[in-house]
Amino acid sequence: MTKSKRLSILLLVGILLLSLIAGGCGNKDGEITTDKSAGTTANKPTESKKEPPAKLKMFFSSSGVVIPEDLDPNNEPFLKILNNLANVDLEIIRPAYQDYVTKVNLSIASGDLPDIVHCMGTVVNEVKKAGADGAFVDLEKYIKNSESISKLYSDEMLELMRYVEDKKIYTLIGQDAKNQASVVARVDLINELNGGNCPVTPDDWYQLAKKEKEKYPDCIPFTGRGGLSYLNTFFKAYGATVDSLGARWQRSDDKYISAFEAPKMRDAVEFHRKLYSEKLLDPTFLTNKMADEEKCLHEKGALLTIQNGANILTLMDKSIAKGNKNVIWAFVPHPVAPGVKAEDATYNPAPMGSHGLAISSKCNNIEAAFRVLEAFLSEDVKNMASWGREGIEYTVKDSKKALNLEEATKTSWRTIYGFMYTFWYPEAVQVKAEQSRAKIGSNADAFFKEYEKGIAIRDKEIYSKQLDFTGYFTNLNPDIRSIEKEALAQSVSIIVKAIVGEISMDEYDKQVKDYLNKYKKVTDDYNRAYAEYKNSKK
Amino acid sequence: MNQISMSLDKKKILKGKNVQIHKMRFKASRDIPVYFLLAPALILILIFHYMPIYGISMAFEDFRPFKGIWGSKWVGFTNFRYFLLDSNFWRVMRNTIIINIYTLIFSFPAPIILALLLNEVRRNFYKRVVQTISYLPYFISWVVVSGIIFNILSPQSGIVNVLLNKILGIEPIYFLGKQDYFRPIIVISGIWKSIGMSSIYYLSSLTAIDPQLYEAAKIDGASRLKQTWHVTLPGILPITIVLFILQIGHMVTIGFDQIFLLYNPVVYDVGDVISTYTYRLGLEQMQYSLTTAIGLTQSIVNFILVYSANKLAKKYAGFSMW
Repeated sequence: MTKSKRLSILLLVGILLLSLIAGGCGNKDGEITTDKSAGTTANKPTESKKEPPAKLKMFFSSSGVVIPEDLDPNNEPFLKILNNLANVDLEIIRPAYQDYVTKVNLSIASGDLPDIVHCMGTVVNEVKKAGADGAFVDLEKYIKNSESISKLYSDEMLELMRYVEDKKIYTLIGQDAKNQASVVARVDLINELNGGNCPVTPDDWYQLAKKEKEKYPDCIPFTGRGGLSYLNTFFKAYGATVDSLGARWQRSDDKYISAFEAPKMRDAVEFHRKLYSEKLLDPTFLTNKMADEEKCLHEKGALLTIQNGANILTLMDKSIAKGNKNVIWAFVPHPVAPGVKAEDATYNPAPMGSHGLAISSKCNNIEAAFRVLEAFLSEDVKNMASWGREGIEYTVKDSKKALNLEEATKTSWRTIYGFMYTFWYPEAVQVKAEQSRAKIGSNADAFFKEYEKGIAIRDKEIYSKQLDFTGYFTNLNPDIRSIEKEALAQSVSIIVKAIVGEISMDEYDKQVKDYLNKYKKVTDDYNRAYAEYKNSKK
Repeated sequence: MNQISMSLDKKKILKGKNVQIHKMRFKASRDIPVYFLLAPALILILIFHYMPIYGISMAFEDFRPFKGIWGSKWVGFTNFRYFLLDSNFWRVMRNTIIINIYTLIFSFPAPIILALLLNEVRRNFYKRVVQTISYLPYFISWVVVSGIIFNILSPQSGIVNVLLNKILGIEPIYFLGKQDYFRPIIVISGIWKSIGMSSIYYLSSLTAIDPQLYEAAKIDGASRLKQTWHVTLPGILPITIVLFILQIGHMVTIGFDQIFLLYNPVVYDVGDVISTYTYRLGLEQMQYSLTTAIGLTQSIVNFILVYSANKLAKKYAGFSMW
């Protein structure tokens, strides 16, 4: 082999080796590096601001809020406010929203965790499990010693946060925003097609949809997304708890049953089947992505959806952006099928939020980390996440806050700091409403009249009910919980096959019977856990 | 005398071997740079395939991520028993094998046919254009391809339904919402995406066939079809067997992206496969031990299939991978 050939081969080898090494060593944004150590101060339970700020790392999700791409999460004004409140110097790690849960789970698996973890969705349960293995700190004594936090959490809320196996509290769950989602409808279409009479039963809605189809043949009155998402309404109307995850287990006559066993579940499936066959239900509801669903809502005359009070304003913004100036979305009474009790056809208030915070056991300054938790639950951060900064996003005149629309809109992403109050608490909704008023334009008065009316309807339906913690304390065995997940996936399959006509209703009955036999152990475990909970209350 | 002749023979043999060994050593020293060239690939395989082998022990543990492999409790065959007794597992296994059989029947010969057809094309420009167009889809991600499929097959605005309606007067069909169509869609989209790239193996094999064989066949009066049967196909038989054996070795494995992006709850019965099942258990439910057990079982079954296929190929075709 000639010298030049050998040299060129050696050069190629060198390049390949370097690329292999480079490929193995990544240091992208959002990944934890071990180069910087979490510098700590002395581990004393003190709130003294004279101490230098403790350096901590935090996984902090955007929770789906649109954040400007060029925003540096470690160099923005709201983080500075949080840092000052807690006397910390936080390094924020913010993976892409769609990857957040996976990233956190992988960090737990690798043991390479930041000091503080923002928990959302399934992360909450994974943190509890990992906490029991020593990954996270038991927060109970810190909660009880904190004046600001202990007054926000009742004994039952503390019980709710405990991990079922060892009864310790690894995640501090946020407060509920009192802004639960419910049925939101096109009030303008109800006025136009039904003389202002809001449908009451599922059949009334069917008649309204037919009227709309007659007048606007291209319309799609009902839509959903990726399976059963957003089709809850009419199942709930028939007293069956079916949502995007599937046919849930629900309480009926003081025992747990599968939603398939709800007396009118079959009627609910037949109702959806009728809607689908008459082209009143979106033919592609199974495979719709968010964009497809939004197209139906804003361009195809969809009659209803499920949203919370803040997202109604977003719906309005988007509809108006599409040129629908007269559109009015608002809460309406939840449909109730004949023979179903109203309380079974409406949602229950949530006792707590769905986001939380956890502190890694490897954190060298747990007291400082807990100050961050306190800061997130403080009135200062609650105000910052909604109104913003005084003098910038809002001003105060005659003891009243006045929004500076332009500045407030520029930093509307600041709502990400409100996750411990589930984002859309009343002050945040008020700010959003003010921002929306300008966009809605001439229709604003008509809209806000219906909007306020709808809020009152929603609050009466949901918030007049007593908080019921029972469902949250009915703790399945971990093995059964994983079987339940498979069961739910299968239940979705049975229901959608019946809706689209892939199977006959007789075949549906057969598959439901087989399903109930196969997953009887889940029902039994629910009833076992429920019995244990009732006994513990005696 | 016999002993002497035997020892003489032995010496000759040993001398021959020494000469051989000497020759080999001489080659090795010349080829050291080539071995260096191979080094990155070998290091890659060592680091990412051999070193993680100890992780197989997760299949026999109740793996808790924070405790790690050495700290987790040993549970023996509990995980294997769990999925082998789970009816969902057998449903996904059945779907995996059926889709792989369809792939073997339809997808495997497709690039061979394309390669043979391209081989007959005389105009180089046209041949290259077709080749380029045919292998471009290989580089498109399944995310993009699935979006294209959704659009093409949409019951509202998809071109397939528009044509069916306009030409044949058929009502729109929701192809992706029907169990009967799901597997064909998977196979056809798989063929469209990979046919070009796979045909490259066969095309390169075809160029290695001695043209004199074709001339001899012509002289013997063989038609084009007979030349293909007697010269071309035997010429590409070795590569075909190798690829066939490799395909057999993936009989209980299937790609995740394509199925995950295209399936929906209606088609779970026919489309839910082992990779999507493992994804749900492993990533959504964090059951690492269970999915490791499933992966280990897949690997063992695939190894048995590859070994058997290789043996059979050696016995009946006279050619094998090893």
